[in-house]
Amino acid sequence: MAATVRWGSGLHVAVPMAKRGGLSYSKSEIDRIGDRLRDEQVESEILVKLDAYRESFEPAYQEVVSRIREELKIAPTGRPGKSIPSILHKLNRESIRLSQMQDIAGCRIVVVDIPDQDEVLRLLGRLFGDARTIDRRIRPSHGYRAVHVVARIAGLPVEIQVRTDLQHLWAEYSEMMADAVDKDVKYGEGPVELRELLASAARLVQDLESIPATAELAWREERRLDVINMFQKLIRDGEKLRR
Amino acid sequence: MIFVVVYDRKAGAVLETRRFANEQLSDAKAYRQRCELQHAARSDEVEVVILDAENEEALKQTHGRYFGGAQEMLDRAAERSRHR
Repeated sequence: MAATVRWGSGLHVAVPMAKRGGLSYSKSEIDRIGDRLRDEQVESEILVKLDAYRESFEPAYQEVVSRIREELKIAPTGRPGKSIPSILHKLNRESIRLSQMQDIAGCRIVVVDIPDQDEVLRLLGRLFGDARTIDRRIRPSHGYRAVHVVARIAGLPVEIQVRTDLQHLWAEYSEMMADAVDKDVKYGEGPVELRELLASAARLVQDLESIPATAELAWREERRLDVINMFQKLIRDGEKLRR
Repeated sequence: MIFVVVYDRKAGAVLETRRFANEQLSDAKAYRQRCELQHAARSDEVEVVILDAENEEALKQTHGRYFGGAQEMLDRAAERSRHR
């Protein structure tokens, strides 16, 4: 099967569809795909190879997402294959090769608060006993807090991101500002004003989420709305930093 | 439902959202490949992503930055608080 696509300013090329399953690339071949992507050679041949690589995760992805949906009755949003800019950014900024990426396939679950997050983590732990849990609530990454559970199916990793509403709000806002102002802010670099703004927002969320679950619900909800209001002020301040 | 979202990171704007039925994953992947080639010259800025969500509302909840700015995301978080 081939798809005719428009390439650049008008050249049409026939792109064979990546074959289903049974990936036969070696680790070094996979890393060569990454190297060529990094060298900004996004052309049909390399894209077909990348698609075949992304597709090799599909059975593992389908199993993880189906089990979460059917056995836990939780509705994650799945992302069967990491996008090219995300792969490129990771290859360029981190000392990681394409074959080492744990999040080629993944899904995301957003819950309301920490008790819900802990409960989802407990259920995921029961469902995928040998999964690796990376708790970025304990060790945030430049303000990013969430929990990532990496399940392995037939040796292939599938990353499950579990975020609270406010962790998610911070992550999405930070991603948006990184795109608009400076990508390096995700790595603790970039303009100091933006770093401080994101650090303030992260502290707000972290402080709120440190309130024990035993505290009165109405009081916790009031604090949560306070944080949302303060976040709103930070977002207004952040508008001045956009290019 | 499967969504193919074409998002211009630099502009912070969705260029296209195309919907596919759950059984059309192969079609969605072919479409993603077509879009990735179309935007190859800006491959570090234009994100083409397949997302598989229960419905559009669920997608907006988990991938809000594709659907509006920071204020919309904040409004959704506040709304969720009010409906607890």
